[in-house]
Parts: sequence; C-alpha cells; structure tokens
Amino acid sequence: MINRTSAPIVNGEIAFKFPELKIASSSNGIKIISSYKPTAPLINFRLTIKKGSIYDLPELNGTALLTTRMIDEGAGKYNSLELNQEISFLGTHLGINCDNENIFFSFTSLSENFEQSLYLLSEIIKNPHFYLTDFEREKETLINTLKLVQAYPDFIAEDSFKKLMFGDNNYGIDIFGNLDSLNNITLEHLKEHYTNFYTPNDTIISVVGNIENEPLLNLVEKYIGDWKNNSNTIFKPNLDLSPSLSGTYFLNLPGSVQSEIRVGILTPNIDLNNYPAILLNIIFGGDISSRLNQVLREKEGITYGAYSHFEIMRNISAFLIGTSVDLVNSFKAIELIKTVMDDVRKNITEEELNYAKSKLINKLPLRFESILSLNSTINHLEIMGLGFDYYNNYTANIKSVTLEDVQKLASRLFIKENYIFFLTGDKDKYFDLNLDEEIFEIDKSGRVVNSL
Amino acid sequence: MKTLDIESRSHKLGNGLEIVLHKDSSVPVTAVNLWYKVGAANDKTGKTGYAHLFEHLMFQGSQNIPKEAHFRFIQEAGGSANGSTSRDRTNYYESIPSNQLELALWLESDRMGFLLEALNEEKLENQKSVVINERLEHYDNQPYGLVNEKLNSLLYPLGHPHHSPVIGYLEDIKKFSLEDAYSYFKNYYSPSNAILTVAGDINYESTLELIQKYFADIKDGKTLIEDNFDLLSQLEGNKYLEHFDKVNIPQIYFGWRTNKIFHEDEVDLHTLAFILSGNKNSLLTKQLVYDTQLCQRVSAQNDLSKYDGSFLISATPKRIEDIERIKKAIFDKIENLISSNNNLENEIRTAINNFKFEFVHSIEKISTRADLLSSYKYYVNEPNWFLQDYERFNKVTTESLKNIAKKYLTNNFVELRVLPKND
Repeated sequence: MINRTSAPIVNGEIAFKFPELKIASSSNGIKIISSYKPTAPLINFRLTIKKGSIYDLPELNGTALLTTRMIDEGAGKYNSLELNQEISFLGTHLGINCDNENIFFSFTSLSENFEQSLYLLSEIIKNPHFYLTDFEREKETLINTLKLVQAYPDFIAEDSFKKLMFGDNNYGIDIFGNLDSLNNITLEHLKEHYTNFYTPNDTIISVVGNIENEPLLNLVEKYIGDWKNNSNTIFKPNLDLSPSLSGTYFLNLPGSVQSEIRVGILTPNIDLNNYPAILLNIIFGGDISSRLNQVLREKEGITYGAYSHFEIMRNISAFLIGTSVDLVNSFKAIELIKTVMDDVRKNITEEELNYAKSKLINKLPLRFESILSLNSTINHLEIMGLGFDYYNNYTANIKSVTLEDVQKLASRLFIKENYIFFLTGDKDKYFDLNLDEEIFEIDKSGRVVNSL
Repeated sequence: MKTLDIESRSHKLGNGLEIVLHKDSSVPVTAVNLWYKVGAANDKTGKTGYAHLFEHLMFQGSQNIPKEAHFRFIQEAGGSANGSTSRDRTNYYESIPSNQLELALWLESDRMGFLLEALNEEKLENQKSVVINERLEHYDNQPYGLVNEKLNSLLYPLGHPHHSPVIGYLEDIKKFSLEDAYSYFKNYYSPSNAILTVAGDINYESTLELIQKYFADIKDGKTLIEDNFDLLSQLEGNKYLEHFDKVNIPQIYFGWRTNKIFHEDEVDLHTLAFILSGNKNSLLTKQLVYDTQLCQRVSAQNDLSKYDGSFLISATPKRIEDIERIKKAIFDKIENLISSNNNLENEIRTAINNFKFEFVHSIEKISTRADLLSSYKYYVNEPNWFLQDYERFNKVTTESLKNIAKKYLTNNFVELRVLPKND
C-alpha cells in the first residue's frame, strides 16, 4: 500500500524562457513580431490596428464594429460570396473584430495555405468594396444582433454597469453603440472610418507558427508592403474620468429569476507592471480557490461562481467583481462581498501570497503552449507597450513582491464605501426586504430614476 | 497525413482500468484525462441531472484531499483542471507542467478509490445549491436557454436517454440524496468503467509505473450496465411547439432523429450540415441570408451520441412575419438538394478542407489530443484513430449526400418557435 496522505514530491523544476522573437518592419512602417514554432503545420497571423470603438463619434457609436462586419463583404476582384468561397476552400479560419481600443484581423491556416490566406486578407484590408447592398444587409443584421443580445441579463448588466462606472468617458459605451446610433450610420461614414483608421500608421503584425522569419517577411512585404499610409483625421475621444460614484444601484428586469451583481472601482494607477495588484486579485477573487468564490460558492452555495479581475486597457483601469445569484440571496451576496473585502483589507496570509505566486510562476509553460495563446500574448505585449522581456522578468518580479506590498494595496483598494455596487433583478420579487441603505434605481441608460 | 498519425500505447490494469499513453515532448506540458463511461444518458426519469451533479461532488474532496483542494493543488502547481458531463460520459482533466504529473495522478486516484469516505450531507447540500444556481444562470435566466431542453423532449420520448437535459430538472436536483450519491458512485465509478489517458511530455515506462502505483490497488466494483434502451425509432408524427420567452428576436428550430455516433452515416450527416450552413456560400445561408435576406443567420448541426442522434436546423428571421416563408424555403431547399442533378463536388471538397484544418488544429494542444485519444478509445476501442476518422470523409459524394438527406430529412420532424413574450 502506498502512502496517500500527502501530496507527492515534485519531480524537478522546469526552467521557463519566453520563446525567441524576431522583430522587423515592413517598408510602410508596420512592426512585425514573429516566433518560429514548427510543432504543428499551422500558422497564426494577427494584424492589429490600435484604433478601436472609443474613436467612434458619439452619434455614430457602433461604426468601428459595423466596419469590421462590412470589410470582408467583397474585396479586390471578389464579391462577398466569392471572397468567402476562396477563404473557406482553404479551410482557413479568419476573424475580424474590434474592442474599445483595437481592430483585430487574425487567421489560422495550414502552413501550405498561408500565402494564399495572407493574399486574401491583404485584399480585404487594402481593397474592400463597401457596396451599398452589402452595407444595408450588414447594418440590418447588426441592429438585429444588438436587439438579440439586449435580451441577455449579463449583457444588460455589463452595459448599464459600464455607464455607471465610466460616465461620459468613451469606455462607458459598448462597441455596439445603441439602436439610434446604429441607425444613424451611413455607408459614407464607414468609408470615412476606413480611410481614417485602416492605415499602417498604427498597425502591428505578429505571427507564430510553422514559418521562418525570412520567408515570412518576404510574404508580408509582398502583400502588405504596398498598403498606403493615410494622413488621418481622428476624433478625440473623451477619456476624462469623473471620480467614481459610490453606493448601490439597481436595474429592474421583470421576469428575472436571478440577480446579476457587478461591483467596481476605478484604479487609475494600476497597470500590468503592478505585480502586487496581480497577486492581490488571485487572493481576492481571481480564481476558483480565491476567497470570494470560496465564501459565495463553496461555503454558502448561493452562486455558480464569483470572480474578480483588473480591467486594464491602455487608457483606463478598474477593479471589477461579478457574480449571478438567485433572487432571494441577492442582498446577502452583496453583504458577503463586502465582508470579503473587509477581511482581505485587514489580513492576507503568507500562505495565500505563496499560493498566488506559485500559481502565476508555475503556469508559464502552459500559458504559451499553443500558437494561438503565444501569438495572442505577443500581440498584447506590443499593443500594451509592455516590452518583450515582460515574461522573462515575470518570475523575478512576482517573487520580489512582499506580503506588506500586497496588504498595503489591499488596505487602499478595499474601502467598500468607495465602490459601486450594482444589481439587476425583478423588483417585485425581492424588494420587500428591509434595507438599511439607500438604493438608487437606474434605467438602462444609467440614469437614476428612483430611490428605494 | 503524417500529422494525424498519433502514436499511443494501451494498457489495462488488473482492476480493469484502461490506460492510453501518448508521448510528445515538444513542450513541457502533460495532460491527464480520465473518462468514466457514464453520462446523462444513464440518468433515470425522476433522477435527471445526477451524472452532472455527481461530477460536482468529485471536486468536494476525498479521503486524503480536503474539500475543494483539488483545484488548489493543481493551480498552485501551475496547471488547470475541470470536469464535464455529456450524455455519454463524464470526464475529469488536468493540464500540468510535466514535472507535476504525479500530483495529478495522486488526486485522480484518491477520488476514484476513496471518495465516499469524505462525502457528507453538508457537501451534497452545498453542491445541490451550486448546481441549482448553475441551472438558473445558464438556462432558466438566459434567452433561448431552454431551447435544447424543449427540442429534446419533443424529439425523444419520456424514458429515452436523450429526453431530459444533462443538467437535469430543478425538482430532480433537489431530491438527490446522500444515499443516491453512494449508490451512483458504486454503480458507475469503478476502475473498469474508466479510461485514463496521459499525454504529453512523458516517459512511457515511468508513467505506467506511476499509474500502477496510484491506481492498481483501487478495488474494482460491479458496474451497472444499461444498454437496453428502446432506441432509434422515428417520430410518429410531426411535432410543433411555440415557446414564449424573454427575447426580442424570434428563432425557429427544426429537428430530425438520425443515428448513433460513428455510425456509417455520420460523415455524410456531418458534411451535409456544412453544405447547408458552413459558410456564406452554403445552400441555406446563401439563399436565406444573402439572396432573399429573410434571415440574419441560419445553422445546421449534426448532434450524435452513443445511443442516438439528431440533425438540427435553426434560423434567426429578420422579421417575425417571415417565419412561414423561411420554413418553406428550408424544406424546398432540402427537397431540391435531394431531387436536383446539381453536382456538389466543390462544396464537398470545401467541407473536407475545413474538416482537415479542424483535425490538425484540434490536436495542437496536448489537452485536446488527450481528450480525443480517450474518445476514440471509448467509441471505437482504438486511440490512434485520428487518420481513419479524417479519411472516412473521402467516401462522401454528391449521391451519398442526397441519399442521406432523403433518408433522414424527409421523415417526421419537430418544430420549435421561440417567440417574444409580451409582458
């Protein structure tokens, strides 16, 4: 019989080194970062333009997203269906989308189909048709998609919560915009958007997979090198942030059988080089073993999961908490979240810190296993300006954090009175409770309409 | 295709546990993947959701592992872990840095051998509550969240292994008792009812030794075998249901009974789904989204399992008043596919190129490869079946697709319409 009472001793250490990267530029100034990874006959290609939906004009929100939906509806010598047939015949998976800060083009192809896939992508980027018939169809589809997702409680919660968190700042606006702004968009607006933003000036390319650097650079030059820079006129987004509101806010969703709960605070001084913050999040709510999930799920059983994360983008940063609970336990969940905040603010243990450090350091080999995950990381390092030594220095940086560093941050961060607590649910089903604090009811635009 | 020739070694322990090992040291990562040959299809009427709820209990600790420590051990080691329940099986898996293999084997073996020693009423009640919230979050409080539940209850009669949802009905989840948990474990969680795959940066000999060390002394039990379901009958008539939901946009669904996974018809059904909706030029998408613009999306899906299967077509109309036209267009297109002389060779080639990409892409990650090895071992008793699986598609022809469409899609069907509820 073996002794099963304690965990086995670890079999040696795995030294981690971030994969070697090659960095070059195309003749039109695009930075190209690549890593040769011949473990499978696959190549992942990403082209990112650092201009996302925050640059949409307020009355035309949704323009960046609609442009990504339109841009592959015909390009060069191919109409929409012909272009799709060419890509699909290769088996290549092409993705085009955007977030608040970036426009993303990416594809994964078999090595043997890489050049043809790159040629087709280059036609999409350089020579899109923007025909009226395609525009009308895609606009109607996007409007209907927005109507469709507006029925999802988590979408509604995120949308309203963002408005509360970021106010008039452009990060408070969903990439979809709204029905009015989508209706305002014309084909001319999309063409203007394309001319202003789809240019090599703010573009990077990253490639990982079964292709060596020299042939890769030759192909990029051949197909993307003649993409012309534009002198663009760019709307200056509103990036001002008012001091965060605090208090508890509620959005009525009749018929809901659960409450969506969101909690947040702006954290303007926290970025991805803030290692105490990365560790604190693991301890508080960053994984299934964190305190938040242990209390709400494993001890109380009132949710399927409760998590936290730092939302860190180029211009904003916020600490966010989210969970879904049954209606009866909505306010109990909020009280428990406050209790966990208090507890973490007062006392983090050495054991918790060591756990968080081990998790982050030991996970490095798994994080970069696939070409997709590695390329996604390379892309992220570049667009966030973190430098390519980030993960080579990561272990030392994580190890250097002390308990005092994390505790100091927690005592500054977890002052519950500074947070926005937000929940959605069916008012008729749970607002018969005796509440000891004021709750502000808001509408879907984030405007306070009532005090409960 | 050499890429799809995945070498593996199979073994069987004295207690019946089947082992699959696969070595690939290109990255210092190892995947442990354990399939128990029991899933939601084995849930009984009135006891739905038990397979899934039991998956939750497996993370509640065992004799030597405290409650929820499984995740903590694996995450601290830099790995990830989870489980999932389908109709046919329940699986548990860990991806770990390769020096942590023994940890994963220790954790998996302790709950395979010694789960009941640590199971109690408090843990059970806690996880029942968690699963109830999972159901509320992912199904009851989601627009279209009850679609699969409604479709399956129409497609399959009460008592059929696909009739009820994997997560189970709320009232059944609430009834699950500690006694049920004990008998469930004894009936289905024996070593001889499981397949353990270890893939990645391993040494064949030492890995087998470690598996023997942790699993060989686990006593085998008697597995409850239930393969005597009354299956594969077609619907006796068409069925129609309107479901009013908290949605803004309607969706329509059509479903047909088909056949079992790995049945000879599977590749034609899979290719048919692609040819109907796999890209913008596919038959239904081109007609309904591009030519007539009646829909903003259309999708065909082939859903096969160990005991039975279905073929589903769904569509999102742009206007609610067009539903009847869309239905007619879908059935006309199927009829046209069967009766016309159109040659589909180009569409078939496109479909196969896509499947080839998906095969190669799916085996890039060690964890996915491990799961596929377990899957092939389970369904066809041969883990290295990647190449054969891919080459099966070479037999698809225009004629075989027409035949398969005629064989299944001209039978009785179910129709579900999800319509906006007017409060």
